[in-house]
Amino acid sequence: MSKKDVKTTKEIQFNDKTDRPGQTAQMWQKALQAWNLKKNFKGFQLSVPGLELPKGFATALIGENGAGKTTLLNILTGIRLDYKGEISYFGRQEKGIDASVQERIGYTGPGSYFLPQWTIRQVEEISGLLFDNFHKDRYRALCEELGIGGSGTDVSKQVKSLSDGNRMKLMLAAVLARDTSLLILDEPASPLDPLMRDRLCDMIRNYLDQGGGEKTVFFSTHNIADMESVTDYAIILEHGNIVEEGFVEELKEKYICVKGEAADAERAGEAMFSMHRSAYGFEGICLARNLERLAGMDITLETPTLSQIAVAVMKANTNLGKKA
Amino acid sequence: MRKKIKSYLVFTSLWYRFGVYLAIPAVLAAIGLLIERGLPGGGLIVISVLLPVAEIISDSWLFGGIQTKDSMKLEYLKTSGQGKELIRTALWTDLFRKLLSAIVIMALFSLAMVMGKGEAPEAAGTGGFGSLLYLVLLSWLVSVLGTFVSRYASLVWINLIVSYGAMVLAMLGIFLLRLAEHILLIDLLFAIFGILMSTVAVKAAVERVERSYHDE
Repeated sequence: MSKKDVKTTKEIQFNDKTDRPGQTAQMWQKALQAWNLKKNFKGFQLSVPGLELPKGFATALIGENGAGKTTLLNILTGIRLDYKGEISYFGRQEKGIDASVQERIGYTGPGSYFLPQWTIRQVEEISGLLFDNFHKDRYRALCEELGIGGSGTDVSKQVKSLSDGNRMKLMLAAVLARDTSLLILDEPASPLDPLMRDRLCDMIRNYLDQGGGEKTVFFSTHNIADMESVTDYAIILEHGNIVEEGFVEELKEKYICVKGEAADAERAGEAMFSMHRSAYGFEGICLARNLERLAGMDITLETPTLSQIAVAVMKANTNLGKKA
Repeated sequence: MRKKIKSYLVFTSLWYRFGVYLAIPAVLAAIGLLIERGLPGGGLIVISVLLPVAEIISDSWLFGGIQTKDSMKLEYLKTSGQGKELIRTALWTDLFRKLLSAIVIMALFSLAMVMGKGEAPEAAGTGGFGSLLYLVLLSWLVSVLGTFVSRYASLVWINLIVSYGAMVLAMLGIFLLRLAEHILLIDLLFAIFGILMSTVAVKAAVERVERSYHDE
């Protein structure tokens, strides 16, 4: 039952910058670093003392509604400039965002992203004006491939006439048609159907693979289970603070899924990080370092999913249902 | 120049283009011709009064409400380092297009009058070059002023009220034309004031976009 000690994320080392975790040798490079990010808005405070995105990987930003995910992503993409703190992109000495950095970042977001009266063709035109690295032929191929605006892609369709899912696909086509180094995607999976979510994971994986370790993806999501296959690193944000982060494989060593008999539920509850009880038994997440406290109980250990870990961490940190 | 026009056109819908480039000029010319029948020389004046109304109302579908607190967020544009410049270019091009529309519509109408009646401009009721330029610049100036004010609101009925105000202002300007002695000098003043007003209008809209990067 004993598990090996879990290293902190800062201690993780790799063989090669393009390799996945657990293969040793050099510290991972960062696509983005931020220090002391602070933003106050109408009683909400985002406070991130340190943020690092591992270069060449897909990082998921997880958190409940209102946790500050969109605010953080907006700050990183330069859409919000009223914050305190410093951000360094792509290992540059200069801090902050400028046109050359924005050229390398592809962002998709909710809300007023495209003007509603724009057509699919106009999105192509405006993208060509906004970004030097935009490829029209790639955009058209993606629109066709993703079936935006129906089969054959009716380029005269307006954004406002597209479904939420097709609008997201259009955003993806616009950013993937560019040569970027970092994709920042705000809730890309939410409006998509299950098939398209699977496709989205493939697209993210292809993007990373084509980058040969130089491209990075940072996305926020509530659809943790659907996006787990493409998530290398996870950051869990709760009421404006990062409460957990790490490579998924490492988190799966840090947290263990435990199932046991109802008779042991009371005693197990003292050691468990998060737990559900029923008449038949208990099930929950336990920190690996606390497993010894469950000694003597008839329990089953399983590797948790990222979704189970995230929910457990969010439960432990949420203000939901707590009295002020 | 091509990039400037493209920057502007990406903000316009097909219906807007149809309305501004075809429907509005056609309707104004038809009204002008009708007036001309009953009141020779009145057609051009009516066009110069109605054009600002059409420009202010049609602007609701272009940059309507851009100077309001809840203006369009334009997030896609903000993700590009060139986004702000593109908006600025589009705003300038729009004001230039308004001037061009006034010139083309009124010049063509005057030309049609002169050719139709086979008389000199003054006798045909279109006035001389100075008067024509006066009406063109007056119409443009009132359009710029009206769109600048109307962009502080996103409700069409407010834009309608602003357009009525613009109509009154244009009529006052036409009344002044009857009294003015040095028309070309006034034309020059109108042109200068029009450029200044355009600068203020673009600056106000761009500042609003800049403020949208910050919470208020």
